[in-house]
Amino acid sequence: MDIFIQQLVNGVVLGSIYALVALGYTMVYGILGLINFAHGDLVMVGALSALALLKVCLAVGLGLPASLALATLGAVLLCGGLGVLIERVAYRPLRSAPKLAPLITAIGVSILIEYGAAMIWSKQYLALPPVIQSTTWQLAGAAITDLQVAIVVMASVLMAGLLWLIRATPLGVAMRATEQNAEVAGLMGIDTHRVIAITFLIGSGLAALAGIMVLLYYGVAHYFMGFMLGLKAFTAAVLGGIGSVPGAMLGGLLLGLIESLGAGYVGELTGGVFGSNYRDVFAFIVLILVLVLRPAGLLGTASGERA
Amino acid sequence: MTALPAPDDRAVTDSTAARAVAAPVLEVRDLHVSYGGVAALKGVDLAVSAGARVCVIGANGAGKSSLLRALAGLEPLAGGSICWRGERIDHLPSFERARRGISLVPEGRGVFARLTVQENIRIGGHARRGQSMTTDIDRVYSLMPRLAQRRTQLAGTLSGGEQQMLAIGRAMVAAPELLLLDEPSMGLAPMMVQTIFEVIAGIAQAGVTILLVEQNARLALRSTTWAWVLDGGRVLLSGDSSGLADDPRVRAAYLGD
Repeated sequence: MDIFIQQLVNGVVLGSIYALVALGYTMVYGILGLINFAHGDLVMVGALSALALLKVCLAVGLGLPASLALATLGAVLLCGGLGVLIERVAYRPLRSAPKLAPLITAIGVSILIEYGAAMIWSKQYLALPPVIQSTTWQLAGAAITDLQVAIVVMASVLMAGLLWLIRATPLGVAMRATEQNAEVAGLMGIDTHRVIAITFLIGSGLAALAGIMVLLYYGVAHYFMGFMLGLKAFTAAVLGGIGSVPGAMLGGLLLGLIESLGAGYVGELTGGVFGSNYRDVFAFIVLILVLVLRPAGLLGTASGERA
Repeated sequence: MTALPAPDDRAVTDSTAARAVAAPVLEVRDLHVSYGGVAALKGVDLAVSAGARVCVIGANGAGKSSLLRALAGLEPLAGGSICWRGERIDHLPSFERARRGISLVPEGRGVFARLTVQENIRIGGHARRGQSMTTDIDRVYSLMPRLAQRRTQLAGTLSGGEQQMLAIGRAMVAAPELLLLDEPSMGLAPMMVQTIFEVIAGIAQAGVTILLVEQNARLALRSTTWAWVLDGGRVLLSGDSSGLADDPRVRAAYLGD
């Protein structure tokens, strides 16, 4: 029972991070019909640039809260800008090309970012300086740290904010209109290129924040960390129904829970043949099952032509 | 033909560079549009004055929709020019033209199916950049009470006629100076067509310039004062609408007499 509650807690934390990243996939897919494979790598850029900025800020003698705030701001701005730049340079020229062209371009952009990051930050695992002292609480037999609580609260606030933006603001209506019919949205006086750029800006900013959470939670960052995280977040988006914003949130949370509980119990269930190092398997079992059984995802609308 | 106004011998000209009046707000010169090398418009000239009610009639494939799409900025020009209130607009994207007061109600209505009726109507005001649109929204709902009843429904759940009303209402909220209507009667029951055209007449009365494209030539000629007949991407005839309605060529080809 203790394991169960502990893994539940870990799953919610992990799921919050997956959900933030999944939102970027789902928003871009919704508006462009493109699976932006470079999105996971922006999480990595967020983590590594935040780490670099944090070290600089600490080195010049700034306090921890100020350093964290500056590093976060810098990483979000950098990733947001990078996302907008990628869209402008790599995807916009292919707007009317067959769907396969931007997809392959996205894979190319992903590789470019990964090896660009390797050149800047090396291929080593880079550790967070031991500046974060987290407090641990006991709750129903499980250990919860203040960092975990902060991650979940932060992610929830961001997601609530995003839902409000999409549902209730003129920008959100413009985003949904562009998603449904970009041509008619243009006739309404909506600058659809700008709406798409803003979508990338928001998705990339969220990716940066997710990267910072991963950095603080696991204490390390690495030039290739965005690959697996990106695949899992993509799986979460598919699970929730790609194109659906609430779906990405639900899918992220569920995937985090499935992975945590799976990793917690896989040893017992298989009599020790497989250990928790097989945790990554669960995400892809989920991906396969969803694609076979419910390709539209949990909250998605079935549409054969887009899949 | 009894429904049409009495014959009028002033009209019918064969001039292709037909001008509805002096001092036009919209001036189209030698317009060419092609799709992958196939020419849809082969040099169309037209001029429309402020507040006029004009139409373009012609058979399927004559280039009517291409003309409206080119005016609204949805098709690139292969040649020619479009001037709106003295400004060349042919290089501007569609959203810039919408912000200059040109509003197209596209063929097939183009309502946002997964937005509510209310959201569809409000989005019409996007082109106005922050001006208050409450009066216009109220006007839309009072003109088309069906939309008011359904304001929280998703637009995709409306009937074809209601969607057409919504598309026109959405355009009204944009407070356009030029309203381009692409086949507003298409696929609608006669009662609904009548309602839609009453709404259009109301908009025209408020001083909005109307350019209507219709396959239903009889209806189009009855609702406008000047018309162009498009055939194979060229202007075949132009003249005032009542005159054209009596032209034997128009009657034979487009009015089914």
